[in-house]
Amino acid sequence: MSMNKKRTKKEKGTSVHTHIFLTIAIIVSLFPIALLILNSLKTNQEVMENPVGLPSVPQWNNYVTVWQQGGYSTAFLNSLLTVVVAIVVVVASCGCCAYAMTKLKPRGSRLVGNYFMFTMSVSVTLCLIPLFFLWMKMQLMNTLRGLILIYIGINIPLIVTIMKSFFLGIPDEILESARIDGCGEWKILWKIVVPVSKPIFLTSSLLVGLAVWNEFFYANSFIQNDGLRTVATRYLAFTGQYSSDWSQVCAAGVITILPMVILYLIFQRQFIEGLTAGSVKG
Amino acid sequence: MKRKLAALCALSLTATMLLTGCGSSDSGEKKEDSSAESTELTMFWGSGQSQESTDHIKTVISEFEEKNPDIKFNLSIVSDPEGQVKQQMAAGGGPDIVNTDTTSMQIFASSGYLVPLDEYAEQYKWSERFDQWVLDTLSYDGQWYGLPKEMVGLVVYYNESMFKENGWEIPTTYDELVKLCEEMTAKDILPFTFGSSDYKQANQWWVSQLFSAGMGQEDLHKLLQGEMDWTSDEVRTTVENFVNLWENNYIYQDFAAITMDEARNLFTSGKAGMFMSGTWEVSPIEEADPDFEWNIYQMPSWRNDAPSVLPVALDGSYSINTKCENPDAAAKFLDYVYQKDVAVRMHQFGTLYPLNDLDTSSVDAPEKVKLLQNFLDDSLATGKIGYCAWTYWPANTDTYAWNNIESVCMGQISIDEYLEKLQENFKVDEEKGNVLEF
Amino acid sequence: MKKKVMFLNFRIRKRVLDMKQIKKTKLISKSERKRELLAWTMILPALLLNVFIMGGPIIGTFGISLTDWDGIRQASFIGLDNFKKLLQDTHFFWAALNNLKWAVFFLIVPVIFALIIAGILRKVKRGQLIYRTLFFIPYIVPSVVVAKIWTLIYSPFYGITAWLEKLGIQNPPKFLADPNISLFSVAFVDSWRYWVFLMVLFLTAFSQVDKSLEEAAMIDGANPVQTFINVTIPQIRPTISMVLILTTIWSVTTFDFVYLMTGGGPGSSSELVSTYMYRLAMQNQQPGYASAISLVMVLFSVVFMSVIGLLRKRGWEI
Repeated sequence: MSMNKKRTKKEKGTSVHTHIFLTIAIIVSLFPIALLILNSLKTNQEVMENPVGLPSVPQWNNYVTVWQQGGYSTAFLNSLLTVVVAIVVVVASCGCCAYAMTKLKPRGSRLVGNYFMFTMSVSVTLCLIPLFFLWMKMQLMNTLRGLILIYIGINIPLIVTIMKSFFLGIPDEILESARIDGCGEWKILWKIVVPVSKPIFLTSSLLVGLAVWNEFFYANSFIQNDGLRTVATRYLAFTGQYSSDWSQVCAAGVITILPMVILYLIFQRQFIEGLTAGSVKG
Repeated sequence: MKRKLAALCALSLTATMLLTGCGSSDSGEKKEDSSAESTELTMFWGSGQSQESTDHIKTVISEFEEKNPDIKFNLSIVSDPEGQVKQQMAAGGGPDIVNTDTTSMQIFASSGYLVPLDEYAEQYKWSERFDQWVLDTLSYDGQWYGLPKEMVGLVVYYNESMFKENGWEIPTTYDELVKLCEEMTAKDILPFTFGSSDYKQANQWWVSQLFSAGMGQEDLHKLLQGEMDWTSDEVRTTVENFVNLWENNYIYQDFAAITMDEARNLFTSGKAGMFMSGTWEVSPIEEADPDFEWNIYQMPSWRNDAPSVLPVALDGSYSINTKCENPDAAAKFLDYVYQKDVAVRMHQFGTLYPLNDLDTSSVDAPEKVKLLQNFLDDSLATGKIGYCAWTYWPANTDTYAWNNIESVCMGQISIDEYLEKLQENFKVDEEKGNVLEF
Repeated sequence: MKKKVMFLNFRIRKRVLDMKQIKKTKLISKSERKRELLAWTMILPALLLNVFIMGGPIIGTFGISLTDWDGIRQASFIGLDNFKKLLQDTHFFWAALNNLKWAVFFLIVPVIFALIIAGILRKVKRGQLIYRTLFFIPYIVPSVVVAKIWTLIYSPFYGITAWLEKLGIQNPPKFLADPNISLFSVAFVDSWRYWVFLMVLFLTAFSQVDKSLEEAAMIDGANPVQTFINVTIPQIRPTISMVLILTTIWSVTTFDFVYLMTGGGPGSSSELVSTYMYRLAMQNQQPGYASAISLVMVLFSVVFMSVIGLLRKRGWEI
């Protein structure tokens, strides 16, 4: 985080100064992450004595230990399963929903739109209590399917909204001509809309994926069984048990963030656009 | 129209399959099998328990299964067994053998979720094997509902070599305690280390200790039975004495910001002289530094007219769920756990069952564990015990007390307000029937 | 007589119109209805899923808040008692005050940082994308890891505090232990993540700014900073106001970092309404009361948004 508030905007053209300033800002901004990586390669002793410096000898075995002790293989599978199912169901249901709301516009769909707007501004933490007890009654507590169901439900409003704005951009003429040709709505959806909408499907998948992978609030409250934990909560449980071995805590941290970071670096544009566009609509 | 319908069906079918398919990866509790041939019993066990106690219970289970081939046991290892049990019980389910703290046990008993054990107590002679104070904490409305899991006490661990070097004596009054802390501070040594940032509920330990030492057994008993107001002067003085210790940094002022591990490190590395904790601390301390010379003493009474007490607690209980299909089998299992030769094995790991017929002298337990066992036995024999919050205090009062003790120290709420709120919460507890009669 | 005729005419005309209307609706109705049914079939899965997870529970929260439920025993209806209790709950008001402090912090610190960095970054031709990508990384890191690494940085033994002590500085700030600054220490961490999000929004907004106005100002002798403040920023006022509104709404329900880093402590110095509610529901066995608190949080957002909407209708340009 930039600790210098000085506005060093000198004359235009001195882009070197600007670059230096920005680079410093980036280093300062990312130094916690750098610290995470550096400390993950130290022994715990080293972390205590020399928290900021470079590791003397990279302790790659930290990662191995953490992976095995932390039960990360199961956690990764759990998270993967959760993410994939959530994405598939959300994208499929929201795609149909958004299409119908923008192109078919049945009576009352405006109400649905307003409803989604409302739920987006309501934070999900407020639904916790009733969901918690409802899930217990329905025996969905401490099950992955129960958690996935929640993730599906809470991601729908946002995805519907961003898909709606995308679909609005699809010219009606194409759809009309297909209808005249005798195509049923489902066929139109499948044959015309879907191929064109690949970008928004990608963005939606990334958004849902990110939200679900990083989500910890519900995952923490609704899953207690270690074997079912997702990666984020596995990290929480792991660091709760091994709180004094900082090198391992950092190594676990790196393992936890790595998949998303890699995915992000590949799809940066979609990530950034999707995240900002979605919130702007709200 | 048909195609549309078919597509819709296919979509929903796939979704359902996916969702139900996910269910295969959960390993929650299974419903008991009520077939004539075999009974299945379920129970939760904490993954945070030491490996030894987990191994022990597993061995006990397999031995039991061998002796009783018609009973199968299903042990679920989860990270928060108490929380899960509470949730499931509230939802009308729950494991057959209920494994919780005694306060929750009281609530469950009062809601009719637990099977009264009085008959089994007669059958298996349990009432003879446990002391009265144990039975008291496990009864509700005159009936007995649980078997005690473990007995613990709150003691002060101190650095023996450091005390010898400096010629320090174990304090016997509050003033001596303060003086000792002064001398330690003068030598740049932290008197009492403590840390609760990773487990706020640890504040309960100090709450239990300060009220036991500050009020003494008789008055604390009166308080907890509603015969004395929480706003009385004695209580006020007690809390003031505690805040005084904190304000002078005799108790680590930043305890809310460091973990228990870090606090223990301060003790074992010699930066702190004393550590107020429970008898369970013996394992972690030995693990941290086996060569560390330590001993324990009982916190002196902070009143001049009351004897020193050892705050004791039952760290949970085993009960039988009314939803259990074969409570007789459950009772049989519980009885096996408490068989002399079985229970005594746990003794080695510092788990002390409050059985009065347990002959621990033959067990090859580490020296320190024996030390603690004897300490506990001696104090219990004198009958001078204090009352730990998580066993003896009613739910709301207990929760308010440990949740807000930090704020009192820091002056965010006044002592008067703290006491008033305690009184209020106690009244609510009385109305709801949460108050344990002992 | 005239009246009667007029009246009759009127009725006849109405009849004719009605019949035309009926014909219209009848003709369109069949295929329209079919289409509508289809459309609703498409909408329903998403809608139902969401109502089940969010809509229903929100109503459920309202219901639970009217009881004294403790999560285990039977709930009994107590009407608005929970809300009355809320009005006298000093702890709640303390937490709400903390929320206010949090909101003020967030409305100033990350916003200003974002504006400055975005303002600088927009001038960069080559490499803007790289900077943007790198800056944005904190936002995609899960909050649990961020909380943990910052706890290390704030640690009194291994972090900044210890480092400053070694340098000989007396009484260095004890970030998470000092009740006076614990809230802001946590707010800082959350804003470390949040400002990049705002920065990207501002960058996009800046890209649509009219450059000619800026050039005109520069020619008139204004230096870059003055231009930035007086010309550029006003042009993105809609974005800024949207950001301020969003930030305020999100600050009501913020939870993650306080829960992960301090649990509301030490004491109740960093307690937020959300952490208080969570504790009441999960640990203190008072979900009824906690639900009442949830509702108050929802109420705040609703009222806030309504006020904004109302002001906008009145012509206020927010």
